[in-house]
Amino acid sequence: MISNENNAMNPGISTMLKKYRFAIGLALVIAAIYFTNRSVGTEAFGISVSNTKEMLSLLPPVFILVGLLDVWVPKETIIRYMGEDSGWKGILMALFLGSAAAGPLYVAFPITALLLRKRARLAYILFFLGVWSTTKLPILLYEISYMGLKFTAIHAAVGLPFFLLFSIIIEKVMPEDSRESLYRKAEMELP
Amino acid sequence: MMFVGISLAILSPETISRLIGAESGPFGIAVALIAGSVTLIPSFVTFPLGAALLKDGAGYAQIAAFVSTLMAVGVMTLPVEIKYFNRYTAVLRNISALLVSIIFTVVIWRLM
Repeated sequence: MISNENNAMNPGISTMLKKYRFAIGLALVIAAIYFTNRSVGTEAFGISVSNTKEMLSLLPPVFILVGLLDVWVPKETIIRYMGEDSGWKGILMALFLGSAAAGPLYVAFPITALLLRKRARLAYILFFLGVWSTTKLPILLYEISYMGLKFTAIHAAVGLPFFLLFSIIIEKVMPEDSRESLYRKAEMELP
Repeated sequence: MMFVGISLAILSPETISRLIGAESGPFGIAVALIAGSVTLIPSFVTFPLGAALLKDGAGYAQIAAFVSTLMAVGVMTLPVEIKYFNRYTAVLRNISALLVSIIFTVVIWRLM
């Protein structure tokens, strides 16, 4: 009876528990590690906090930026620079957008959703993700200083052409209706 | 987030270096590819970590496999990626990113 009343007052609490069951479970694991081995537990907690901080500091600005670009940049502009017939312009735009970026790949997903909404070509969107994961400028500087110029140059020289090649292959092997549903999904949902 | 925290804390640098040492060959590369694919580390930590592992005895090819998959392949973020694209595109993109990482690793293996 009492629990029923509670459920009626807080209809969300059981669904909340279900939704966050992994997060809660892992938090308990970290707590358990802490009590068996203090230093490992503290480190696990520290790394978790720094990852969460990175996510919280990067995602809101990206969502705001994506929202603004959605309003400011007309579809025709994106189609002209990254659309089906944009050719080299599309490749250069993907290179520029991907390199100017900062942050882990999941931060790029809202941006790709925006590009899909504005009808950019799928191959260029996938290439943009490849560029993002290879040569984003701030991280490139880190790579040069820690791994050396040769390592970094090989990374870019091998990574970029092959990401472009695979992006085009994925687009080509993808069934027409699957690709169309991607665009329709992006048009219906705001990023 | 917490999953990464736990696994990174449990694996000590010495263990990592032994698994992916310069002499570990294709096995070490496979370990590095898998480790890089399933973990999620802030990118500004990735390269200092890679350099530290190199100093502890890890091989260049293994580190190449680790850092490239770390940045390009996201098993942890796959559910999010599927939400933004669809299953077909997200899975194919991750497979292609893994292939690019393998090609990059082989080139580093031959040249460095």
